[in-house]
Amino acid sequence: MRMSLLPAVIGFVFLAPAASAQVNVTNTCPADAPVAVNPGAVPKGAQSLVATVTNRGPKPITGVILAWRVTDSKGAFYVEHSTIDYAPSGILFEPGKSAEADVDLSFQQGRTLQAVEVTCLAVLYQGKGVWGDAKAPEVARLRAVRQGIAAERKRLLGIYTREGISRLADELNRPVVR
Amino acid sequence: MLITVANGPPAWEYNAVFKKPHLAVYIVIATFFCCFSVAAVSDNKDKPISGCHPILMILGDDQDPSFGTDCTQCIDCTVHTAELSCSASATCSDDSINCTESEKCPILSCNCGQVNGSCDCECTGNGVECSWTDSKGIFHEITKNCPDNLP
Repeated sequence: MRMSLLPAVIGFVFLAPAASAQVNVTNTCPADAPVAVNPGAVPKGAQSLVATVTNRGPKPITGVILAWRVTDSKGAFYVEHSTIDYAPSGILFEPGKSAEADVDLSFQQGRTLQAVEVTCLAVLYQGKGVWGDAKAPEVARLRAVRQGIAAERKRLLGIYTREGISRLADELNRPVVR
Repeated sequence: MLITVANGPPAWEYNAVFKKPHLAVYIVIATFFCCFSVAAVSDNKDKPISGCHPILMILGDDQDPSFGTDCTQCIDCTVHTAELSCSASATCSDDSINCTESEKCPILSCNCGQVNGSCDCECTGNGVECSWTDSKGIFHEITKNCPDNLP
């Protein structure tokens, strides 16, 4: 009996502090959202966080925007947004697939991470379809970024074609999703 | 006593004749080196720029800012102005990004986390924006705003 309790006691002594050194993470992404967000466990000293985003389906997705509220030990909170945009890649975020979204957890010196809250702000489909807050500035911003990337690709394609650099032109000729 | 050389001018006259070309050569050489040195100093682009932090001058192959740019520093001035003449408290001349504003931001770094490749980070005056494209061509971005409720 005594022998069987010993590993449990040792485990409690070593694992209990490790378990308590994690930050409270709240996930408010609705259950009926087209994506599931899993931020995982966040250690107290973490400087960044990678959350896993899964397309629940049924439609393929072109972009996901997550909103974060990161609070430090003095109560200051930072609003952050993570964007994953498949549009320039030419591939779609298909149902059942997962992607990773990063978030920064750095603070002013002397402060520590207190809490993290995540929600899914918007999901963009092909065309103009949007789930979530379609009027959020971040959605308009992502569309503007897409436009900028497309315009720059077009400009470079013109240069590479004119200069006869076919290898680079081929790279820019690959399809994009919108 | 005057020393004379057979079939030639006196020694002082001899020296005077040949002193002139020597002096001219010295002047030409000195002028050349002087001008060369001035040109070399004014062309030295690696010299530290007054008011800007050295880390700001580390640029990637495509002249974009590199990893770990500091939100508290005037990175945008060095990227967007040809003169590299900003100081940490200056307002950038061409894009109106006020570095003084970004100094208020307590975000000490733009952590691009898992990025394997180039990452562009910029102070926005009220936070920081980092973006990169991964190996599959998928575009990622993190935007972080400074808190409004700073003590």
